[in-house]
Amino acid sequence: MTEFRIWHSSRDPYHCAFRVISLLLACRQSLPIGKLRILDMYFLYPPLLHRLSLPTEEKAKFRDLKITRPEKNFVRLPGTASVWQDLQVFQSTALKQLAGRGLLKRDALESQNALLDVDLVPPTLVRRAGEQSHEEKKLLNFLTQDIAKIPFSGKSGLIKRAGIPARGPVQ
Amino acid sequence: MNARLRIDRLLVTRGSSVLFDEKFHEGVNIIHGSNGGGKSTIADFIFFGLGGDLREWKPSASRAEKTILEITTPAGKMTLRRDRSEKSGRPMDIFFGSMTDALQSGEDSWQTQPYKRTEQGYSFSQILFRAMGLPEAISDGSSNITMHQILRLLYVDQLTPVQRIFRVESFDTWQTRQAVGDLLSGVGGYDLFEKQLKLREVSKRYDDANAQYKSLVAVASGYGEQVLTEHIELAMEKTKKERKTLLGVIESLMATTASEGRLPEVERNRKDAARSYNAARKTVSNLEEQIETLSYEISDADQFVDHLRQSLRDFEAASETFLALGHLDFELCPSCFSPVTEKPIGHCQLCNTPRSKEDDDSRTLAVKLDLQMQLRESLSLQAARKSEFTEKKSALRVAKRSLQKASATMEFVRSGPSSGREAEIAELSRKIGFIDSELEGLQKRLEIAAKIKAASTAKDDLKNQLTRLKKEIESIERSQGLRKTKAYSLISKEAKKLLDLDMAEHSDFGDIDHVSFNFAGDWIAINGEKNRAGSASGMVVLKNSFAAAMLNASLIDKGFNLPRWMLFDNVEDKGMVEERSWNFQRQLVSLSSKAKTPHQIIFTTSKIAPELDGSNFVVGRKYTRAQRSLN
Repeated sequence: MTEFRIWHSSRDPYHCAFRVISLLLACRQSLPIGKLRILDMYFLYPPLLHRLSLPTEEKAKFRDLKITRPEKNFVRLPGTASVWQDLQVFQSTALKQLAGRGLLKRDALESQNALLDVDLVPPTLVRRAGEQSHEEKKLLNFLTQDIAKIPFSGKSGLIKRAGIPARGPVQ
Repeated sequence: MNARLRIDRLLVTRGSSVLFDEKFHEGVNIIHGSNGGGKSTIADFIFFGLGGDLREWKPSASRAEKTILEITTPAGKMTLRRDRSEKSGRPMDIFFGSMTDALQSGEDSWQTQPYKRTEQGYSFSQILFRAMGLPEAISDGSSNITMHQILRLLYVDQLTPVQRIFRVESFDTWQTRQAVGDLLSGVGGYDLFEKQLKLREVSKRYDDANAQYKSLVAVASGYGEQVLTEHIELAMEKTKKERKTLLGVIESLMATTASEGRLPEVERNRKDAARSYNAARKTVSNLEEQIETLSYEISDADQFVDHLRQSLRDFEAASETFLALGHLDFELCPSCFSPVTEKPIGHCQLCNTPRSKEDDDSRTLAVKLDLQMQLRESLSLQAARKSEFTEKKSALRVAKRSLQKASATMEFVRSGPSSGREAEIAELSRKIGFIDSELEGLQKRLEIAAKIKAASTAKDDLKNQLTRLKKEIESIERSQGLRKTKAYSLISKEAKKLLDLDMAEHSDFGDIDHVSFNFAGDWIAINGEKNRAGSASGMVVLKNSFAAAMLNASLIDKGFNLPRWMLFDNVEDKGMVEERSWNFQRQLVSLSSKAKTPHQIIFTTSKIAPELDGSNFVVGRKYTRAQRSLN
């Protein structure tokens, strides 16, 4: 019996790098690293957004996206905190390498912000990021325009709303 | 990206004995030896190892059991293994990686791929085409272009008559030759070939739909004129009304009938009715259960298919990121979260395996193929499930009808007559029984009518798709005229150049104005004369020069799909004097040295040019009758 090769985007730092680039291209401005990680998690597993407690306005926009509920999703997901924990090592790898290759601007990084140096992003990736499906584009917009507006920490911050530990990995 | 193929190593074995093991390199590779030394046997092994269909082996090859080839393609290194056989259509074992790794790995690391494409998986030709960067093409609406077919153009052997372009074959169609020629010349492309494949698939589905439609109409016509759903429904309505009236009459008769002791036959009827009712109820409930399970499976499989499609898209995005950014190294181990210690350069920073671009590429191809095959298999299983679902639904409708009938019968018997107006009631019941069987027949016809309607819609849809695809293909074919002219002119020009360089004192070509050719007709002509009666050795030069011209054209023009690879067996065939052979060998070496595109030329000769003898171009030792190529 031939050996099976199993691949999943959640365990591939290259796909993570691609998601980060897609998010930053859609955002067109800098994003705090912690927030970017959260957005990446929701970009990878949109059904988890159902477990995110959202302000009324964002909730309405989220409903329009018609995203499958986690319990009906094909990939059975554990709690958000578990998913978050599992993703950390891949996100760290991808972010560090993107920073190392100069794709993330250094001065922004110093203040814990991710800002894409679009000129340095290989054109093939810009093109592929542009080729996302209609649903993915809608989701990207929702994440980078609406969710990104919610403050990161604090009582009504993303960390609290998502139900994930505030202490992230060492950057 | 250029289509590309390079042979790195050929290993021929018998059990644990190694009969032949040599490495090949970029550019020119010369297999040198005297006649009968086994050079052609090696060429045959390469042809067979790459997927050619070879039934007539040289006697010396009969000892061999396995041929193993390591190749490099744009999708990485692969190792191909085939068991030598006289039978046609043998499968191929593929290992995604180098031969060294392949030989050290267990049998389960090899993937066996069939010669012919299958409904669910891939043929080895499809995998090799993808790896080499060739679009999949079909020849004449029924068969796909295989490795064997393209090798007929890439392997210039000795057995084929010299005036032919393609390696000779007993079953051969001009469409196949034209398709191979066009495919390798880059006439057409992914878009065209994909549409042609789709056209073939849709044509097959249309034929099936048409056949199904016809057989349904034939069945329906046996019932008379009422074949339309509306007519049948009307008839059913009428019959049901009649039944209701009769039931009403029975009920009123029953109301006035005094209850008397039950007769034994009534008791028997009661039991029979209960039995039929239970059986019908069981059938309905079984079918309902099966349909429910099936619908869960279908919706689950739909999600799985979506997931696979998404995974494929994600995987492509990930591999493109890898191509664009290079390796991303972990600082913490994703398994145990401990810091990853630094490994030597060129090794995986996680597991310390030495890595090369080819190995990475071949693993990427393997994962992608796995996902694609899983998707194909799932789609095919899903189609089977959906058709089973439709059948079961239809069976359920019929079963429900039977249940209704059984239930009505039981109702009669339970509350039924036992004496008095039995005769009258029995007569009415008989009529109701007749109406019920009539209704059952109508229900069946209704099913058929629904099927006819569905088949007719499906047939029309497919017909529209066919028309659209044909139009699209025609339009692509019209617009590819330019490419055809460009590619064919380049081949002709390069062929003329090579023939002009043939030795004047041995040549009988005279002044060459132009070289023309026709893939479909399998001929080459000088100055328009395709049936030249030149010397046999002259024809060998013509045939070899034409093949070399195709290769060179592909090195100049990126649009060619020819995998920048050519195998010539015995360049001095048919009694050619050695100087003329040396001249051709020098042309090949010069063509190769001038080329800017990576390529590989393998040729065998018994009369090696003096300056090439002992050079780095030579692969292996000199083979002689006493010391043949196979140990």
